[in-house]
Amino acid sequence: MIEDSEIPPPSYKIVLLGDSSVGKTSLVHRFVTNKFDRNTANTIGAAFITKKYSSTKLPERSLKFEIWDTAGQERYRSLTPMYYRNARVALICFDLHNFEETFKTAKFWIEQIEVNEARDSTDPIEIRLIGNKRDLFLEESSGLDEESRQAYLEQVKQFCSSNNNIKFHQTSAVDGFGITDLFDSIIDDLDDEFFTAYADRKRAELEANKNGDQFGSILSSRLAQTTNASRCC
Amino acid sequence: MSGRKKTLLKVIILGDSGVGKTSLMQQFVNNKFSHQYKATIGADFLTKEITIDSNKQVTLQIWDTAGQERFQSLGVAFYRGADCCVLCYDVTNEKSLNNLTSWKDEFLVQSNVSNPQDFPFIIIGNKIDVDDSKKIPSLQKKLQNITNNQLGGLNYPVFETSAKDAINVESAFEVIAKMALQQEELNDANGNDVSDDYNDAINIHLESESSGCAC
Amino acid sequence: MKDVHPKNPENSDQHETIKFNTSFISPSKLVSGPSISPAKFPSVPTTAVNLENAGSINAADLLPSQSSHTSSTEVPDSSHLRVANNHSSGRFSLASENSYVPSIAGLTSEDEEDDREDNNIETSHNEEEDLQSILNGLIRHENHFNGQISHRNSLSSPRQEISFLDLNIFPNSETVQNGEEYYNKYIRISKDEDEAAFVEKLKHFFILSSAGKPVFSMHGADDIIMGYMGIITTIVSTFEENMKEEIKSITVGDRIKIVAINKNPLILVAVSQISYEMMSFTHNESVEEELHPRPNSLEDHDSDSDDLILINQLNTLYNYLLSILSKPTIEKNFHNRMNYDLRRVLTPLDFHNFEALCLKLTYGLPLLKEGEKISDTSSFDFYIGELLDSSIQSVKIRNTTRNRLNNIFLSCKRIKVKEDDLDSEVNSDSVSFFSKAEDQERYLGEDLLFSFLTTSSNRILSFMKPRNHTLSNEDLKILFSMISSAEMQSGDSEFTEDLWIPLCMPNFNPNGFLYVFVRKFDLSEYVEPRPTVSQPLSIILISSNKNTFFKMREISRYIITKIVKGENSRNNPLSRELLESTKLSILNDIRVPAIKHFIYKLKCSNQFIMNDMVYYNNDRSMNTLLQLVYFYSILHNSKATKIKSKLKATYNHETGLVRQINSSRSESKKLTYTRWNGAGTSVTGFMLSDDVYEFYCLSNEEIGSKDLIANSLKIIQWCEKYRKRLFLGEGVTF
Repeated sequence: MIEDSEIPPPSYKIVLLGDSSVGKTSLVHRFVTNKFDRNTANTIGAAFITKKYSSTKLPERSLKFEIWDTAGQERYRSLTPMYYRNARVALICFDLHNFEETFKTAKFWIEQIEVNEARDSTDPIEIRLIGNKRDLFLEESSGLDEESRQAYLEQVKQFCSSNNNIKFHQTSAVDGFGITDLFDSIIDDLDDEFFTAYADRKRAELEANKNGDQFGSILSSRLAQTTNASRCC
Repeated sequence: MSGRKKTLLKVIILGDSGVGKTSLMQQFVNNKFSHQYKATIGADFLTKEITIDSNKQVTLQIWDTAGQERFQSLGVAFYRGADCCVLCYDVTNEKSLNNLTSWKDEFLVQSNVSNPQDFPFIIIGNKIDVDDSKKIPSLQKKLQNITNNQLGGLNYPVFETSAKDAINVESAFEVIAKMALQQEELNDANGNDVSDDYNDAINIHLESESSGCAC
Repeated sequence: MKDVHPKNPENSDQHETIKFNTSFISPSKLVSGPSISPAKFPSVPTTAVNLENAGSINAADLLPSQSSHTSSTEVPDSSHLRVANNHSSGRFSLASENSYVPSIAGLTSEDEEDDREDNNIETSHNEEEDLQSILNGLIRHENHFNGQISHRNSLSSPRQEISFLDLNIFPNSETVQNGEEYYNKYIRISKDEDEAAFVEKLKHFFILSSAGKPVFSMHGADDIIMGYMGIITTIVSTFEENMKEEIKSITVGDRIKIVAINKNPLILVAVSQISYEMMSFTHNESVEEELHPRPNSLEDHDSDSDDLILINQLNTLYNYLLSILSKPTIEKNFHNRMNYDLRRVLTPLDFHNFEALCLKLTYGLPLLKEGEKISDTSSFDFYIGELLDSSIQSVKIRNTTRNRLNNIFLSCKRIKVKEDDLDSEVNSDSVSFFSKAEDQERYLGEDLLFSFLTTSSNRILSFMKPRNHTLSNEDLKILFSMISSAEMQSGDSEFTEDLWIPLCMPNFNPNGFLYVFVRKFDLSEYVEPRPTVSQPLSIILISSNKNTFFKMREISRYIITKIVKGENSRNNPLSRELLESTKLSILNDIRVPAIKHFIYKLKCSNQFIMNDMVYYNNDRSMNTLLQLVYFYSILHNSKATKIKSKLKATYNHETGLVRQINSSRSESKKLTYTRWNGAGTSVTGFMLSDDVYEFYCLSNEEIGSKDLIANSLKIIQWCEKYRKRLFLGEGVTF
């Protein structure tokens, strides 16, 4: 009988998209290490980070987040479909402090995904809009008055409500605001069904394997076969 | 770093010698970095930063060319890759006004732009501060004639200015920068196919035979 | 070459010769628009011979490191060393005369193993005497005081320590108080708007489009460089349009050199006032030149060799651009419109990388922030590598360990998975355990091209490559630089971070991309008891297919499992070896008291080793670094004295022996001796080279010629003896 604790948490693939320098890498690093480094350099290509995480409110639910942190620079654009293919959630990030330009790009990404999704709607990707650098956005010296801020936020609100009610999160990698909330929300929003169906399936697999070989030994036994075969003469 | 992308525009200044291009430019740009090379290599190079639409920062790399015969062959080098072009004449000198057309033609031939109809030009008439008596008679009519008929009827913006008052020059450059930026955006929309940016370096399927044994 | 003597109106009695180095260009080149010309840079054959290009070369002509060990079996504990030669010849030979089984005990057996490998050099006593008499002759007759150490403050007592200013390496050394001041004024990268300060900098690099739009400038604010870009375009075009010539370099007296290369649609320019960069770059002829004559990318005029140093630097910068964009992308962008601004596709990181390249190419210095001290010497390693014809630096590990690692790589190519597993993302969670009726098995690593296991300082421990493809040393440098600049956490069990980097390797194929998977892990996490110092290693897997990230990831997990499996056995685990290898100190192993720093390069494999610079002057300061850069540059670039010797070094391909045999032919044995003298202090530099190696050393103590030679030969012999441990062989091929 397989115990619940023996079942590994389900994988959950997330992709971060957005303009260069909006803070995608810092967001992920803050989430995974709880640290912030002002000197984070531009991402080259993409980085793949995995982290097991349990919801703060519902600790019995945990996921193994598999996160694609992509490079935002224009020249990498043609590669990104590779990263959001098979992703469950796309976090489209923009910079609250550099609103116009980066929000425009965010809208571009949302459009891209929606176009691609239209073709393959078996398991639609969930889109969440992330406004990062909230700390700078709210700063006195940011050059923004309260009116402008509200205007920007209103723009976002309008956009989200006219686009299938995309969820919007304000975050700051500098002080951590909104980040655990974001990932908690991702877990909490899942149906129970997701977890139970997964647990059932996994349990069945593991039961079957208890009787047969584990994955690891399949692999190594295959290897043993191949290497023995090639030991020659 | 919050990347406010700065656009760089290459601006060519054309016109007969003596119309006052140099003093006009000196007024307009950052004086510190302009050196006088025209006589030796055929152009002066100047830089100016302006802001368009209150949020777009643009750096103008201004090529103030000499236009003399002996630098004719360098036309290709100078004009290649220009984003916009300023045609200058002297309001007291009719010849310089009439020559605008040949300057424009010369430019288009040498620079080999892909879309001559859409290429941003503006016209600047210099020395406007002189006595009316010295100006070209029926200036406005002649100017209209040239812009409508000679210069392809393309209605290029016209500015009049003097070296003592550079304000109009600033507006002139703002206008042409805007025109150039618009062109840029059009180009982006059309020619920016990135789908095949990442060719695979190797297409063959490698044989996966076992190696290391020659028996 | 054209000489021009301009009359400088301000100093009418000063005539500086201005030389223009140009070459005729064919009329077709004058057509505007991008032309596709083959990348022109000297490419030195690398560690592995590419048989396809080598024409009909008999396997017997290959040098031993190429015919060395590949083991086809993965047997971790007993190595039955079989050596196979390259397939095309079908020949078969053994590197060691007897196959052997390494014993399990400690270091002593290691020594036995090496002795049995018969790597001894039989040197004759005569050789030492020969060299000595030649050296003495040089010292006596030529009075080879190549450099004077001036003492700027002659009133003070003679100092023990030399400042790089005392050596007058750079112009205007006497105008500042101290090294830091000099560095800030003349060397440090500055983007100020101060044009006077801009002009003072000793070195400039410019990259611009042929329309004159700037792409990159080492120094100076935009305002300043705009104008210079215009001037450069004008000058380059003047030669092209008016004289139908392509400008290559301009030399003003012996003060300044300007070199330009045309990589249509880009132009790259270097401006240097540094004496050691303006020297002729004399290659020490290496053996492989005879086997593989250089393609005609290098014209053999003397004037070109004068410019080679700077041309190579410009090519390195250009290769960086190629690596991130690829040639077709660059050309396509400009083809669509000549006014294209390439900076749009560059990131702040790219500019940072350019600046770092500029500094390490010129001075061997790292890019430092204000007030930051030098903490690692990888920029110095890079400079020396470039000086030695793009050599790479090896790391010392035991042969058996290297073999074990090689075998692990080889076995990666044989991991089989079910067809359906391949298409879904391979992930141990998702592999299906229920086999289907029409299963086909395929290989997990079918798209895997190159694999590397490296230390954290990018020294290669083991690598694997396909039989008929190779990555040149230049490409490897780009690869490792890029990986270094991609910041990564090192294997924290909390989370893992894997990189997936598209990279164009210019020598391999400038028209397309390879995809680089990188995973770092900390070996110390798997060792009991856990060592205090971490030992990060990197697994680098290069795939030809952009969609194979998860396969590469699976392979890396497999590799780690195999590596750490042996960590707790007593069989000389990898972790211990790595710890020891970082402390390569000849001074511990042999007594060569006066030689403080040395470099040994093995020509046939184009790799080098050198000891830590801390042994030279007890620090890794900028001052020390600049001096070493200067000394070695002079030693390398100076015209050496040829030695006619009755002895010739040869390899015996079958036995792997290096021998000195009697030969009536004089061969390429060379020697350079240089001494810098100054108030109370002196530095001696010595270079010795032949067909097999290049050796350089420095001493900042009084050392007589006898000791100099004896000690040098000792080091050389030690390197020969441990050659297999010190130098990366052919790696393993599939």
